[in-house]
Amino acid sequence: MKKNYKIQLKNLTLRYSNDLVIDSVNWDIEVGSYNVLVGSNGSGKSTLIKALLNLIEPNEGSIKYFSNSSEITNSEHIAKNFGYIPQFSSIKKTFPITVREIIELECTAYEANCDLACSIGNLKLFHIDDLLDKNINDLSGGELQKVLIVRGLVTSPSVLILDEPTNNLDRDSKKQVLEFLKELSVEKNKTIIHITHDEHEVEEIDNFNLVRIIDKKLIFEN
Amino acid sequence: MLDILTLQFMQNAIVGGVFIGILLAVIGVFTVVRGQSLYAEGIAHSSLAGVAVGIVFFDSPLIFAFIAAALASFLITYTKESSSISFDSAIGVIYSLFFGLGIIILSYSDSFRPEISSYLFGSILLITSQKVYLSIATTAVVLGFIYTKFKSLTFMSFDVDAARIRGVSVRAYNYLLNLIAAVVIVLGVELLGAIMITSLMITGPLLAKSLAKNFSEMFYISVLYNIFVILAGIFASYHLNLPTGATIVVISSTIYLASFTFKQFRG
Ligand SMILES: Nc1ncnc2c1ncn2[C@@H]1O[C@H](COP(=O)(O)OP(=O)(O)OP(=O)(O)O)[C@@H](O)[C@H]1O
Ligand SMILES: [Mg+2]
Repeated sequence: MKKNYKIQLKNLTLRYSNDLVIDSVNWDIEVGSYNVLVGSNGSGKSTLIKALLNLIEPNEGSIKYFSNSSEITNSEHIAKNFGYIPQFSSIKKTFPITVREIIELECTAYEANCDLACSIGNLKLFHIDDLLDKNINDLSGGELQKVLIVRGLVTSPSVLILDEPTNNLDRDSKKQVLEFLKELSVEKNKTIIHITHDEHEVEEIDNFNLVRIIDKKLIFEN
Repeated sequence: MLDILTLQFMQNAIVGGVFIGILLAVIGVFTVVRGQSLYAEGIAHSSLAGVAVGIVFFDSPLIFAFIAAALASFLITYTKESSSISFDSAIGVIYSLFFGLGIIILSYSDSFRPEISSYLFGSILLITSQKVYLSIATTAVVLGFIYTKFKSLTFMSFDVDAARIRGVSVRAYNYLLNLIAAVVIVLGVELLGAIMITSLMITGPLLAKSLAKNFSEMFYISVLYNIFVILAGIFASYHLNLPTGATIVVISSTIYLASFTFKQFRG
């Protein structure tokens, strides 16, 4: 049985040396919720989710993870249940590596969780299964973006964090990815945190929480 | 032509050169994909502090070169990990410190020592059997380490954040990989000298990067490339009576530029 995670941010403050990026925010992220995080360039979206993923330490305040209302402190537990689709611009696109290698790397440390067959299925779904042994240098931007989405799902995480996953996608692909995410949230009860520049892009999803970052604070709309 | 293979010093040069070339290629691949092309230069220069201590006070430069390189590697990694400066800046700060110390220590010695010239330009033809054994042993250890930790090392080189999330101990591997690279670079200085070491560490991997279909292939191509240019350089320099390190580097850079130009013309 997969664990369901609730995440609680309390008075969370994040800085880069002396630059304040996130200023004492609170946020309860419920199990199975679909959260859309919007904000202008440089407002701190990527920074906030890196804190959620334990990649940077809170300067003040805390991030707590709960499973069935008991707190989880083991970082391996957290890692196993989180999926991360990084912002496209942070990927080394000239690294000589194939799609297959990238997906297999995800299974490096916590192997038990890996579902390669499911990844192949997802590649098929996005019509990119023929790219499996291609070098990522030779993929189009949109193709690589889809590969990153598939990679983020290879461990079947309960919490999925996507940093601008529809960048580089054409209209049809964008629609398909959004449908897919909606299905994960509704049918598989996955918690989704979806960063985007365009809050209208998720309007087809019936039930989502809109969270804006404005002036280092979070503003919630439903 | 092959009669030179019966000469003891030639055998040493060839065997030592090939193993050091393999090491430089393998470590060079990680250096290149991690965007740390200046690292070899930085460590090679830092090792002067050790070379200086070794020749002025003890008459044994190599062991102190290893110590200085290891120390510099630790300080560079530590500076990078604990501040927001770039890796190149960290190298710049640390290597000038070590190089400066080296120069000061050398000023205590009143005559010019031949070791300085081999530090600067390499001395592959003077390599001792002991150093050849050392290179073979180092190659075994380094390849063993990389083989067993290949996935983690690849993962963190490609995508640090994702690797961290999946539980790769990125910080520990950073220290370890940089330390191993430092040891390899000091051996490389024996071959090519501090000034030319970067060539054999990045040229092969750069060429391989554009040819390789997957990550493993980048290693094979780089290793074959280094073995080829080292052997070609040793034979050519012997027959034409040229300095060996410089000949290796010139052959290597010429091949790289030629392949680059060839590709430009082909479209
Ligand atoms: N590693 C870093 N060191 C120092 N400052 C950083 C670092 N990463 C980001 N910043 C700064 O922190 C602020 C927030 O950056 P962040 O990447 O979180 O923004 P973002 O909302 O994701 O922007 P975008 O929409 O462009 O992706 C920016 O001002 C940025 O310059
Ligand atoms: Mg961002």
